[in-house]
Amino acid sequence: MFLVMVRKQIRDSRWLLGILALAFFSLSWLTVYMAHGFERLITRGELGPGIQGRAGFLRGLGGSAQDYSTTGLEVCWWNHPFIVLTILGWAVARGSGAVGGEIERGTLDLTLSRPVPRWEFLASQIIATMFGLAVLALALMLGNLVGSQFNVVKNPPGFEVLLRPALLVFALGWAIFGYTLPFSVIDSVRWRPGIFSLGATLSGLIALSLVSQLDEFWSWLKYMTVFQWYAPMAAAVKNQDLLWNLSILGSIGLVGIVISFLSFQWRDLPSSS
Amino acid sequence: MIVTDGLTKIYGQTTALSNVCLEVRKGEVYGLLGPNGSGKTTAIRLLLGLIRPTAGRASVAGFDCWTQSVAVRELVSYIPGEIRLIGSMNGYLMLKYLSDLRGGESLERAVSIAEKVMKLDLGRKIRAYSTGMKQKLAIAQAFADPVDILILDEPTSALDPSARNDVIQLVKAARATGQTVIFSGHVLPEVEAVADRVAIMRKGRLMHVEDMHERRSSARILLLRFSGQPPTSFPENLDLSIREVQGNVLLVEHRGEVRTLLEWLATQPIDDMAVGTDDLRSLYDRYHGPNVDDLALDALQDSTSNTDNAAPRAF
Repeated sequence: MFLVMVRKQIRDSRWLLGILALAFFSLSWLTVYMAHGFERLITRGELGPGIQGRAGFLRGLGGSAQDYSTTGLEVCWWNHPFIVLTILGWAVARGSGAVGGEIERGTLDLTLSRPVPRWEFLASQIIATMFGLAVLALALMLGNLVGSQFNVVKNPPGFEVLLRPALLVFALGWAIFGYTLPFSVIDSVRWRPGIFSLGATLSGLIALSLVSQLDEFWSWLKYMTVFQWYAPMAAAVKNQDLLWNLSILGSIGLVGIVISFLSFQWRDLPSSS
Repeated sequence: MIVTDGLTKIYGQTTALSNVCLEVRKGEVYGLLGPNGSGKTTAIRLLLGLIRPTAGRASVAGFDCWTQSVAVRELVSYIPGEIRLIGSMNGYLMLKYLSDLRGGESLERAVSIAEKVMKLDLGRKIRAYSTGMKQKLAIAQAFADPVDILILDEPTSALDPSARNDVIQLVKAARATGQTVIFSGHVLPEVEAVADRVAIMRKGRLMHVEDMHERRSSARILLLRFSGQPPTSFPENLDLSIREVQGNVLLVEHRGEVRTLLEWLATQPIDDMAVGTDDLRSLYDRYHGPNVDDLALDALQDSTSNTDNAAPRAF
């Protein structure tokens, strides 16, 4: 029964997931093509440390860990708003729809009037979300690996190098999903937990971007967002803080999910009418 | 088979169900009657373990409906009052999904009922189905499930007359195979046609439980026009109860021996009379009819225990 529900959840979101995965694959391939172009500029001395212009743009993407290796030039794009916001959107959509959305649509009754334990239903939602996040992370890796076959770059990152930022992509989605889910589990509509989670996450993102411009007193603000621990460049280029960041993001998600299981087990499930 | 004991559900300031005690026997069709908001759906959701009782308990085949709800739902198939299916699936996939959630045994039978009895095109997407078609699909699945108990919450609300009749036949067939059915609805003739017993709910309370076999065989209605002032009380052995008084005309319900009644009537100053059988409408109207005295009903209900054995009979 568990797999039946997992299949159903994946089936429900297969088109959106497929389109997003294709977009990630294409974007990742494109980053290899762009890395090829950047490397030509570096060779001509038009890009590199100390050179203004495009280098500033790259540092804006890659952050303090940005370097001019092929890996750095490619993985810095994994901080691009398109990727970050897509992961955010997927995680919030899955989290807010898991229970609140199902009650709103009236399909929760359909499932839970069958001999299905509540925890199993919730677990199926979690597994389906993890599957989606894994597909998106894999699409980024595959786009890069395939792109390297068709574009000449100096030192294309291998599977192991790409796996590190891919794990962070997965963990970021997991954490956001994790703190969205408890709100969905106690609600009967989708929009409320969705807006709450989106609002909180985007506020955190904005706070993180502002914190460097504020004085020391406000430095605690950076811990108000999960993006503080999303550092794909550092993970790919320097293999730095990966386990720590994964642990923090994983724990945030896990705490939310444990709370969700406990809440869902005891709550009343109202009819959708 | 199904027992509730003091079952109560309170939402904030609203009492959705109050101290309901009922017992549904194995193999019977148990009608649940009442207007919207009378507590029928709340009672059903409590039985399925979808909501937690505020007080009291409910059990199905000995399993507690809240703490052992999965075991309960193994035994029960349910049609909700408002059918919501997954629009992106076609009819066949929907049946397969629902069937797979119960082990997959019932798919073939569900498809057969859906196609042959309900005349559904299972290749169409659910989002293209009308409300009635969705209801038919849910009915096909429920009646195909290998369960002991069917809980049907207004199963015919969106159906055309011929499909309604099909559902009635399916309920009768289910009873014939030993399944227990709870049939909640608004359409009195339908409930009357299938129910062995009928419970009437009002404002979250169980007001009355009627044995329909007994009612069909014993209850009769008399319209009596007296030449003078009608009596205000009757001998106890007559088992007469007053339904309505209009001047010198009395509408009474009789459940006792005919011979005793005839002997009593012969002694009364009666100008005219008519005799008829009783239907569920008259019983229902006692609790929900236009002439119901809400205060009197509330007061009476407060003074009686809220069970299917000790409910009030006449007003």
